Amino acid sequence: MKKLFFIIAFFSLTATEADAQRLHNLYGISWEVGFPTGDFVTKPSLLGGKVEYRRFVKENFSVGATLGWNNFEEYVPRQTYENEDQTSAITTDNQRFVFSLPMTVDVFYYFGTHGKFVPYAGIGLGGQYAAYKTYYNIYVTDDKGWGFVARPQIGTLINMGVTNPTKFILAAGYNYSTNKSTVFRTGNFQNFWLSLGVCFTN
Amino acid sequence: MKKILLFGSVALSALFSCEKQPDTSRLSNAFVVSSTRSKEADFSSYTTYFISDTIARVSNSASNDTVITGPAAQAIVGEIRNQMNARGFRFVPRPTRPDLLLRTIAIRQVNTGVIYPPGWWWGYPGYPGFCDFWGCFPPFYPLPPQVYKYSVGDFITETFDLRNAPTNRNLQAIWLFQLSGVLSSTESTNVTRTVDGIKQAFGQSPYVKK
Repeated sequence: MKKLFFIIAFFSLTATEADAQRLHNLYGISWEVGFPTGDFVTKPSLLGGKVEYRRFVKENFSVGATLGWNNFEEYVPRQTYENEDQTSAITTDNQRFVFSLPMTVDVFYYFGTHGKFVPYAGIGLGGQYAAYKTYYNIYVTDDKGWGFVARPQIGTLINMGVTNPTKFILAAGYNYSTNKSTVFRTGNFQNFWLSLGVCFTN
Repeated sequence: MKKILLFGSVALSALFSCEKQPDTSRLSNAFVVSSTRSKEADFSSYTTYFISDTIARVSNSASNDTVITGPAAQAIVGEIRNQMNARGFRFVPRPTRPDLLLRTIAIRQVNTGVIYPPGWWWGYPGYPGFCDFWGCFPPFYPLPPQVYKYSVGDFITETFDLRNAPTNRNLQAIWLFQLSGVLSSTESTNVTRTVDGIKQAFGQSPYVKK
């Protein structure tokens, strides 16, 4: 948590020059809520977030990078699982857990550059680290790895004054990753997400 | 560019520390029940079985006991016999050459460790005392190190094909089930959990029937 405060404080100090005509850089940090669409975990996660940087190469076009994270967790009551040829079975309750770290390079197009709201659409492409874990009794089985990730998204910057370098970011999107687990028989990991954050611009 | 690199490295290190510790408080203490069978085994071809009324015991704790007998063994072995009989198999004494042999093993792994409260330097020696005008004294902390101990257990039942052993030239295991988990300090609780686990093992193995 201290690290996050440090990041906010650092970029608050560096993002002091407001330019009402055009943005040059944007540093953002957001809280992200995830809604998984697979069957390994189904419960929404409130424990996600992201930090991002955007460089405006044109007035209405930016490139940048985002580092995100999310923690999906779900308790599954006792039930029996069988292997594919039904020669082995295991019965237990379990706590399932997925920790994901998407890291993307992003491009965004902005529909307008002035006004209270600056809507945008874009996509982030990159890699995602994901750790699948299941805890049962005192045991844990895990499977970790990297995959490709695509994060199409829409959102809006919310201005809090013409010269105010601080803005809110509201966004929604989809997270498709190829992180598979042979242990847990999942071919990929996908989730919708909503995020709300604050950014500092210059 | 320096800003980006600094931002990225700080953010990346922060993100990897964002992995939550899972909440395992809802997990039950019931044994994990796993079972596996031979694909070729045809259980309906067997009629009789034998199981000893004692359970082999393996443990890293200080004990010379190599078998479990008495009420605990009676309850556990009795449940296996009840289940086998209910599936249409018939118990016979060993000298009468049963078709199936069931062998039971209980494994107890005792794990210990020490938790050092703040001030104890995690058990390492050399923490300095303190000297002042009233003299030198070693440090004293009111909270002593806490020793913890817990046991993990496995109960394994192996089923061997005795009838075809002379033909196969080996004692082929055709069905195995295992109960695993943390053990209670109360024996009756462990016996109850084991009996429940045996019921589950038969329940998830419907192919075990005459």
